[in-house]
Amino acid sequence: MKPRPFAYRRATSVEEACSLLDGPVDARVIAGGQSLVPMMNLRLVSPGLLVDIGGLAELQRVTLAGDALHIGALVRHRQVETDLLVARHVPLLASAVRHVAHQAVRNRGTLGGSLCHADPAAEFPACMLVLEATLHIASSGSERTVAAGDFFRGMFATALEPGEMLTGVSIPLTAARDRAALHEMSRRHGDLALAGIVGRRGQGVQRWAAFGIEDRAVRLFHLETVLADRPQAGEAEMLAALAIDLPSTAGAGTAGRAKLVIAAELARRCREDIDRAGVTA
Amino acid sequence: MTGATTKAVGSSHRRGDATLFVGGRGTYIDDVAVPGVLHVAFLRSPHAHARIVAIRTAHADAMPGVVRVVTAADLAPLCKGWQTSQTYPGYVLRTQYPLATDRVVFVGQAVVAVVAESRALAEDAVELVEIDWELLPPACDLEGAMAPDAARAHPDLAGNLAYQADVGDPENRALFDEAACVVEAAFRFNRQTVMPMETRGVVASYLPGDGSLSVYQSHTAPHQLRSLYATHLGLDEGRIRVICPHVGGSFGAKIHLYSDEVATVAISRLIGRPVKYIADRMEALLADIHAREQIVTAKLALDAEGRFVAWRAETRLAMGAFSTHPGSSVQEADEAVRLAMAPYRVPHVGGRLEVVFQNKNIVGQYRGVGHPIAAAIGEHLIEKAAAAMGFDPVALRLANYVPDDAYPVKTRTGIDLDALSHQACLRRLGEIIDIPALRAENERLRGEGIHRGFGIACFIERTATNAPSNAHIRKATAQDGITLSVDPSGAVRCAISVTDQGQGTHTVVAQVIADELGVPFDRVRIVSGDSQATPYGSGVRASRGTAVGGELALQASRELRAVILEAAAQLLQTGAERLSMTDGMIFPAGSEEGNGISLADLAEVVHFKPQLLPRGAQVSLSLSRHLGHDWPALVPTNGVQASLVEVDVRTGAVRLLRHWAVDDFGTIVNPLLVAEQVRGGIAQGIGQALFEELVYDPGGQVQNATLADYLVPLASDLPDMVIDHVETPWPHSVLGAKGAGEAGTTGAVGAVLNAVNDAIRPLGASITELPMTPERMLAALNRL
Repeated sequence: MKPRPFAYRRATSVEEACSLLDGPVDARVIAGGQSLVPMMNLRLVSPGLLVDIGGLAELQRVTLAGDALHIGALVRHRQVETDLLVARHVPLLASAVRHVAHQAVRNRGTLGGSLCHADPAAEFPACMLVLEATLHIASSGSERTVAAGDFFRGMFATALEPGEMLTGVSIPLTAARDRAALHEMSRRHGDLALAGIVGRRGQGVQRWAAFGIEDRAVRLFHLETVLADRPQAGEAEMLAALAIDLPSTAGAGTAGRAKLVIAAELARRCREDIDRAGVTA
Repeated sequence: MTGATTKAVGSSHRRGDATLFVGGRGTYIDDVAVPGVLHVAFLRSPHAHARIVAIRTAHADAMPGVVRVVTAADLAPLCKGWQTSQTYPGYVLRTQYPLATDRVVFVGQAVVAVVAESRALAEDAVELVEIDWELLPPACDLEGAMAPDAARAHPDLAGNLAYQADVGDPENRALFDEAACVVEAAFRFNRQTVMPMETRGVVASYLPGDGSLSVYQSHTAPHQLRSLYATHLGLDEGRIRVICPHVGGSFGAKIHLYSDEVATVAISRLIGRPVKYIADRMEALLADIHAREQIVTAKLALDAEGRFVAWRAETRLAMGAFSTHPGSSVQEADEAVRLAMAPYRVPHVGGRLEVVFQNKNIVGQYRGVGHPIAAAIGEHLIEKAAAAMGFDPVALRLANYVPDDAYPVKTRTGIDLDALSHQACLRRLGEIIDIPALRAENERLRGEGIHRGFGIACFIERTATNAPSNAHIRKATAQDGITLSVDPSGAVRCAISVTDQGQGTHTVVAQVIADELGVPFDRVRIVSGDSQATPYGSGVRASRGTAVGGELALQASRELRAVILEAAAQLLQTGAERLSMTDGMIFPAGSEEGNGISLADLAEVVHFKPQLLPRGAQVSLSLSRHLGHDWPALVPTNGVQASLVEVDVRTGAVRLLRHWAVDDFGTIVNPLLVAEQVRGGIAQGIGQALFEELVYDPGGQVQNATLADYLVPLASDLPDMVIDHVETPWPHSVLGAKGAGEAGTTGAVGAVLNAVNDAIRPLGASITELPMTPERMLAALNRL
């Protein structure tokens, strides 16, 4: 269980990192390495070059920027868990992070790493969907932004092009201050979710997403419509909406059916939390 | 004379080696450094069943850093293959080789070995080996294994049935037809593996010219290994040395001999250089022994008063592609059928076992070996019968137990039982849990929509295996040996055939020696795990460390004490019968301090000033003793466990709230180590009940060969455990200790199964497939 040979460079700036990523070799960014390194050891991925961005201090900050909270890509899970700005402005994230693995992993793993890895069972991609976050992407000589809803493209697949790297996310404060909740089920504490639901309710706004169910974090548009019309919709109705939102799961036999049943219950619990108060810091 | 000091036996002595392990200073197999060692990586079969058409190694051979690429053809002159040593009448066997010859028969089977300067280079080169495969139909379906058109695990088999046997009474349908109540169930126990924290590994060093072989291996039976390597590789056993360094857990995984291990040793012989192979975690999941996979049907008949009338169980075990070696795969099924209902008086007990070949990895002996299944099926049906007939499940058991004063007995399935205490253990459980109050509270919570369940499982565990029954396991288990020596400093050295796999055998043996000799605990040092340095014997397996090793230590210590006191009597010019030794000081009975002699002074005289002793033979403060045919085949133990769970009926999640165990291990030498054995065992039983399952798809591919997907229970998933004891000393040894290593695993499975069913029974639901995953729970609850 050793990785294939690879080269390693430690970037000293975002520009340098981007130019390294833009080279002829298949390059990958390494930040916390909590998912990438095991996958390399299993030889599931074998980048020719690892670009270590661990030294880029400018990506490690949480800042208020106008009407958004900006979280740098290199902010560690542990920092999300303890940061006062996150706690005050986006309590959903501070609550979600407690479901992410264990302390040792949270000390190393990064928000940007989790988003770019795009594990279908990870919490943060689904949170970004309901928070309607904007992702900031840099490449050699240019920058662009992508809405969270356009970023996750499939299992371990994102909108990042070769030569691009994620530098951070902006979360609109209006969204972040709405009542929100996250529930997930995992077989063991800290495991990737067997099924997870995250929901946000604001003035005339319902934003819901599922993780650990389909091949990526998925917005639950039908559930949103149902709950907008009938906030206290019953279990059967929520289950029916989820079956439309999560079509490949609905068609996946008993195992898929079990996930839907669990998802409906988790959604009910999220709604109950939101009715009560939503998550607080 | 000094005041009596605390006896070591019976105290929770801190482990003598704790500082070493906690400080990270243990020497595990991967820490073994041999100059010039090369590293081995295996190409393992990606197919469940396929013919090897061609192997092309040129690219791998040419890679810098690669020393040799080895195939079955290279090893054929060195090793003629082997079959399991533990045979049964009619047992169909197939020969195993170090590397697959013309066919592969399970995913993960070793096919080609690459020897390189580092493990990483060896793994790179493995990817350059090309093999042409011709796929064959895989035999992976347990239910359909015997269908006439079923694929066969080996093409030359007449069918997949490897072994079948009827045990106990023949089936008597009338007993069931005429009974007041019959309960029955079909169970499915899915495939697990063992998962010691330290994976398997071998460092082998064959010295050409000298013809000697040194093997370091993470294993629990060095003498057995030495025998096996001599036999399988055609070497002189006297020129082989096997050393088992510190072992980071075995639980059965490391009493077997695996083809990758034989291949590694054979490669050292082939190339005449030292080589190291360490299984990585994926290899551990694919190729360490698997366990448990059985489908069982069982039924219990009762009369109107709740007396057990008849029992029958039939099981089919998915053995895998071969029988394990040297102990066979049959044990898992045989123990499951033979031990079910053994705690009870049942006039008719019968069963049948079928062991079938599959294109899956080999099933071997994992902690408990069949016993957890025996307990789960029997205890589940007893609680089901209690519910059906309206009896209290505790009362129903008490009414049917073999009474504690009725032993010895022989079961209808032919098992000798003695000195058991089911009544006392269940009564003790009733003292530490207010069971009626607990049930009433569960009932009250049910009204609030909280579904809690309480379940009990009692069991028998057969431990401390020895001669003569297991002598078939290639000599090694025929007897055990110990050598005790007193050094000139008065320190006591013990070399013993019983080994330590991390459970604390050394501490227990040292405690017994300290007490029996009368020396301080920390003056006793234990050596084990080295075929060159210790007397011949079985190592550890089957919960035998304390029962066998402790008894051996006791008997040898008493003899050595007599030698010491005789020598001291000559110096002190008194009779040995007037002397005693405490804390390393030898005194005449009733004398004042200062009239005696320390063991250290005596040892100095014996070693360096023999002229102070009377003329005659040199006194020897060293002796060896053996324990063999005077030891019973197996020492039975018993216990009862209870579990309290809460079922989330909307998600199928099971939360463990509390767990209790009352065991009878006879004399307890170290309560702390025993409690930790029980706790760890319960954790593994809980793993079987709720978490662990190796998932094979119908084509024989393993779906979850990483620890992210194969779920072993974590500390955070486990409940508080209350550990208690009843002590009925084993009457046929002086120490009176019985085995404690496997009881936790054996009882936990049935206890959790029963607790979950108790929680969902009021909803009309029942579950008999393990592990009880959320999906299976939701299906049982009719929510899917």
